[in-house]
Amino acid sequence: MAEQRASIFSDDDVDVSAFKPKPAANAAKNPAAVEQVRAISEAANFRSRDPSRRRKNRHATNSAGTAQAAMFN
Amino acid sequence: MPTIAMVTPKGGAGKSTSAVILGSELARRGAAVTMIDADPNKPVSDWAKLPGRPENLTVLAEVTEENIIEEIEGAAQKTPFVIVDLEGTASMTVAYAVSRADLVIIPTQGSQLDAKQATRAIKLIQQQERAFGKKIPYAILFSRTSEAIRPRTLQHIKNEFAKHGVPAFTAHMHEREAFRAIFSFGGTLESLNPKMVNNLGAAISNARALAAEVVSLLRAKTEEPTDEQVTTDETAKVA
Repeated sequence: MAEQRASIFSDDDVDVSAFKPKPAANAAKNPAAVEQVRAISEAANFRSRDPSRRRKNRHATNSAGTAQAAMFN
Repeated sequence: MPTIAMVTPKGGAGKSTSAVILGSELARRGAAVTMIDADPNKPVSDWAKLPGRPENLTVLAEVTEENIIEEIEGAAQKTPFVIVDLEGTASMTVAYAVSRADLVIIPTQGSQLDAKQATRAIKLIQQQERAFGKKIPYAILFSRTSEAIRPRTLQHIKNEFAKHGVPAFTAHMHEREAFRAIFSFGGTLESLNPKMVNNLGAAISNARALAAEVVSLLRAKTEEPTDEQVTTDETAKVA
């Protein structure tokens, strides 16, 4: 006899062996798909942290005036 | 096959802890797992440097916005499970990871601030679903909750998500000493010394319940008749 009772939440059915690696994908080599993700991301305010792209974004914002200018105008 | 992304723009929600707990549990069950540490603070990499990491669990660091899609696709060809841990911020890296995910887990504490940030992640997922005409399964994982106390704020947030059709895991990642201890001692929950860590059995049960639910969700996805389906009408609109 076992010293502890068996769990009623048995995890025997959690079989991970059915999951296999994926076949080769090439989304990374599809610039159009990557660009689409980028556009969706920027629209949702999930912005690039790449310094070169951030610089471009900052210039675009600054052309509309600073936050301080907006407050006092 | 599955790529699982841990996503929320809110920091400290429990992404890295949930990632390591889930990855370790899948590895314990015999699956080869790759964990991609795309958080610049490198919490998963730091854990992996400590002794006791399962042999069938690999951690990739040095992942950036520029290479994350390639890294995810490369890892997915090598191991059946890929878990991507992301920084708690709204970044392009997060969006790229979501685009390659078979399941997005959104760890969320029981606070209004966390929940609002979770909805930002959900909006991003839904926008990608509409743009690419494919379903990206996602679910809220309530994290750092108390096992004993169910605060009204948490219940309110749960009700709000349910009202908008946002799925949530039944299992929570409760606030537990054992979940913190693995980042201190290294290894897995099973390798911790119960004399050093309180309530270890409950933490192990908690981890197993989460893994079982994740596997069940992923299995349901693989059993769907088609890989891609337009979800514009079906998906709950949080926006």
